[in-house]
Amino acid sequence: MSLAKGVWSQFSRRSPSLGVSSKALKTALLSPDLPNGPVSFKKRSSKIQYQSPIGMEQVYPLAYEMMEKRSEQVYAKIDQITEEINSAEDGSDLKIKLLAKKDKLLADAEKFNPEVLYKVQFATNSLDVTQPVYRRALKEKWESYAKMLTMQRLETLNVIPDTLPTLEPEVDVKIRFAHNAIETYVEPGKILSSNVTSKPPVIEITEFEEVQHELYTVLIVNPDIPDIENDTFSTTLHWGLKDIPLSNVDNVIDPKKLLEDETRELISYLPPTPEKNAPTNRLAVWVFRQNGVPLEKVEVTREFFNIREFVEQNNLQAVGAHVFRSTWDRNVNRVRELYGLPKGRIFHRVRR
Amino acid sequence: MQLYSIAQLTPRVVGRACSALLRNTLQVNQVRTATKKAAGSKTHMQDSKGRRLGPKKQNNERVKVGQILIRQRGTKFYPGENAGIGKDHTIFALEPGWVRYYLDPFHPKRKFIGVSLDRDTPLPTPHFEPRRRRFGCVELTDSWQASREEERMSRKEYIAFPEILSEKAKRDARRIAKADFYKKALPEFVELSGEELDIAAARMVSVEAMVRGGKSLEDARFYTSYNYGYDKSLEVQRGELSAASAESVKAQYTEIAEKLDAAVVLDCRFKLCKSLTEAETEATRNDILAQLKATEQTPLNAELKAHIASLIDNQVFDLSSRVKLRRRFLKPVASEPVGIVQDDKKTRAVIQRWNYKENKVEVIQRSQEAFGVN
Repeated sequence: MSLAKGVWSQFSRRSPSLGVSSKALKTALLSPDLPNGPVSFKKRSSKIQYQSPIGMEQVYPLAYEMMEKRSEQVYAKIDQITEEINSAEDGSDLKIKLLAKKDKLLADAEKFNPEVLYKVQFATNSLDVTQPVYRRALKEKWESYAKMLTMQRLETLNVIPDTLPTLEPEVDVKIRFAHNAIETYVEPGKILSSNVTSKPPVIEITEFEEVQHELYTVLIVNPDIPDIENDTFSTTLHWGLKDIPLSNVDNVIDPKKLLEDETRELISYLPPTPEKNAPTNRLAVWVFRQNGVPLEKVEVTREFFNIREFVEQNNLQAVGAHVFRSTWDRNVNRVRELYGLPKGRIFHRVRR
Repeated sequence: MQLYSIAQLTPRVVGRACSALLRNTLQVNQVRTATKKAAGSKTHMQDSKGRRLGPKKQNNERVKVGQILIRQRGTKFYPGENAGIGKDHTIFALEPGWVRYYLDPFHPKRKFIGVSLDRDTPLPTPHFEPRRRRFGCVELTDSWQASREEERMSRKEYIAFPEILSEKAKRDARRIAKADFYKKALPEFVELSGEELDIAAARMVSVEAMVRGGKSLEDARFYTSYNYGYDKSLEVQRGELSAASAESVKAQYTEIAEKLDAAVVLDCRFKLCKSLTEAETEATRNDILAQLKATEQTPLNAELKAHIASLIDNQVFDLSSRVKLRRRFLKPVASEPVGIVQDDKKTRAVIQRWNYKENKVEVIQRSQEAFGVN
């Protein structure tokens, strides 16, 4: 027996991704008394043993109906706002405000839907990011851990303020080195072998607001290159990308995307090749939103790169960052040979 | 007269006198002896010598690395830029420079002692400005010293090194063996000349490693080609290959890759198989399913089990459907009505189990038929 009769069971106007497709799951989620227990039960004996909590049969349909009615009211409001949006001028402040409000309402309308809640909890890898409710769920998940972790690493490793003054993170940035046989997402701040980083990474940028065709700039800078002349450090630009078009769904910067248009590479990838006994190098990955404006006539230098000046000149807005580290290991010489770089300097192991 | 008077005393009076006498004999007489106080006052003798606390370096004083700036109890001062703190809260210099006593607006309740790298730079450096850092390492210019330093290992690395090398040798040997396997196996599926075969085998080794690492076959193929192309452009960058010949080599590689990918695939168990079209896959799948269904009526024996396993182990099925098929057609114990007997002679196994519906233990006897035929 199914409870759904109202708006949450109608998929003519709503995306089919707001419901679960498996029939067994649907029955389990929408029956008043959870027949045969949760779907995760595999053993027949467990299924037979299961008894749903006392009173669930009465309470669950009642609660479902109440929530569904509230959702219907929110959908009525959304209809109103949609009309207002249609009558508003394109690009006006009012329209932008209304669109944001509509997104918020769309998420609110589904936030208690059991099918949506199930997906948010158990199907996090395949959420439909075109739906505001799923984007909100992803944002909450990001804010609860990954965002804090990234900020903590950026601050304790002094990426902030050594590269850029500060960051208000808006997007989730993940990187992996896909040219290797085994690849994982790199935890911010991790020290990687120079073999692993010998070819450019794949960068995933997750936006939590609706994004159709936004352009992004990505810079990988290393503020730990020894500057012996001045007895200090200088910043080197390891990789620069510009005008990368991304959306909510298509959010990966990988070789496939870069091969489409080679002008998107500002400067080719240079792997980190730290020198022996010099401090561990930090490689800061900075992601900038261009707000729809393509970068024109940008010239960059690899050595003594001034990232603050570059950001100011091109009017870029930093929206996300990541950091990984690299230190001298036995593979550095091989990577240097591969890229035709001169042999690295060797420093005395006692710092004076 | 006296005797008389005593005799005249009432028993009550006698009793009173006796009790007084008794009281006097039992009473402990308090004795005051010479005494002395056992201990001194609570705060007597508790004064220690001065601990020589306080600042050891004044503002703007020149310091070297490791010099102590202040000795203190607790953190009256906090370590600022280029200063460290010891376990007894002693603050010391981490860089050579000039001592600065300062306040930081980000921690309004704290006082800091730091070391400025320049005589004139004040502390703190503005919060959003990059830190001023000293490199401080000395380059080894003597080639003998430099190579010695490069080869120097930490104890941990020194101990691990032989194992690292032997593991690497094993990995390389496995890779070579794999390439040899593909060189032998590939000609069955696709026609390749000697040089092409080497390239194709190397490609298959890489693809297999990537698929085993968790990539999809498509991604594994893409990244293998990508790595090849990338390495070739690095050769061009190094000047070992001209741009034109790099292009021709890449084109040749792409040609071989396309030929190879059209001919072979790796199945879900990383086995090399012939590439099938969608229609062929569908037809094979249906054919095998029909064969499997035909076996359903026959009781299982070892031979039939092996036959069914070989049918299921086909490239057209992915891992999850293989598991499902095995559960359906290779059941170790047949479903319930099959092989339930009452006859003790035919019984091979007696199963006692709890019946949750009827709340009692039920005993079931099953014959050999339920477990397949030997």
